[in-house]
Amino acid sequence: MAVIRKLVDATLVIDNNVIGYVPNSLGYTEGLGEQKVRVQTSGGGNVQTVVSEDVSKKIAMVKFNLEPTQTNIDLLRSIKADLNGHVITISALGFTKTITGAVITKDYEVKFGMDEVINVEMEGNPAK
Amino acid sequence: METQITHILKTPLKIAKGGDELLAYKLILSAPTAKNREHLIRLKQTFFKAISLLRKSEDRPTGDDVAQSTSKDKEETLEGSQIITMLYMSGVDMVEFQNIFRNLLLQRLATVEDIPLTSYLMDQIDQDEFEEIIGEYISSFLLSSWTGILK
Repeated sequence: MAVIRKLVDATLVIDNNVIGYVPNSLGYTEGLGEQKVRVQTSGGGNVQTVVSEDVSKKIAMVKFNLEPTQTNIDLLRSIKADLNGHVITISALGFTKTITGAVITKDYEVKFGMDEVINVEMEGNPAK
Repeated sequence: METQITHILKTPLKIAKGGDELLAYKLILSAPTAKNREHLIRLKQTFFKAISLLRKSEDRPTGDDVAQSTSKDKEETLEGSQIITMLYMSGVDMVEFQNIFRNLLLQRLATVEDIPLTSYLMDQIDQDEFEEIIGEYISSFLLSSWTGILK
């Protein structure tokens, strides 16, 4: 029976460069939005489901942590400053997801300490 | 002397540009300068070592063939593929040679769609095509000056 492998230790690429990140900190949301299921009735106990979609929520998000080094801080500053958007690719074991037009939305905090990391969140177009 | 050559990739590279992902076919290679001397010296040293090894071998094409085929009297010059074949046949460490060449290109001597070629993008290039690129680069920018020394 074939072994099923869990996706761990993914490669994070931002704008054609591989980025080193804190292990087990990388994650993403698909940006498929939120849907609501409601019901309409035609009487007599006959119901139909009605699905609606909130397209305003169709934003993909990528989260990862970086170590607070000079190189990483300079990298984050350049990414944050460029509002044209960036391309993020996450890949592992043949699995690949690409998020285009991504920007850092929040002002990330840089803390100094042995166990401190920088929490980065980027939002962009729905993942492909 | 040419300062740039264009290589059309057989398989396009997926590159990120302006927040979008697109396919790039044209790889622009630029001539090196003294700024890249560390890598150039090592490549040149390996090339001459290859010539020397070939000269010692009776069965293989000699280094004189290399020098003669790039003679200014002749219109033809060695093709990139011939250079690669010659290097392989000489027995020099081709892994090291290609790693040095790779690091040379990473010094912003190669661009796709005006984006400098990164290590990640270079890894997408097929190995055979990469060797073709090495051959073209040496043939276009380096061979005539290297073999001029052999005459």
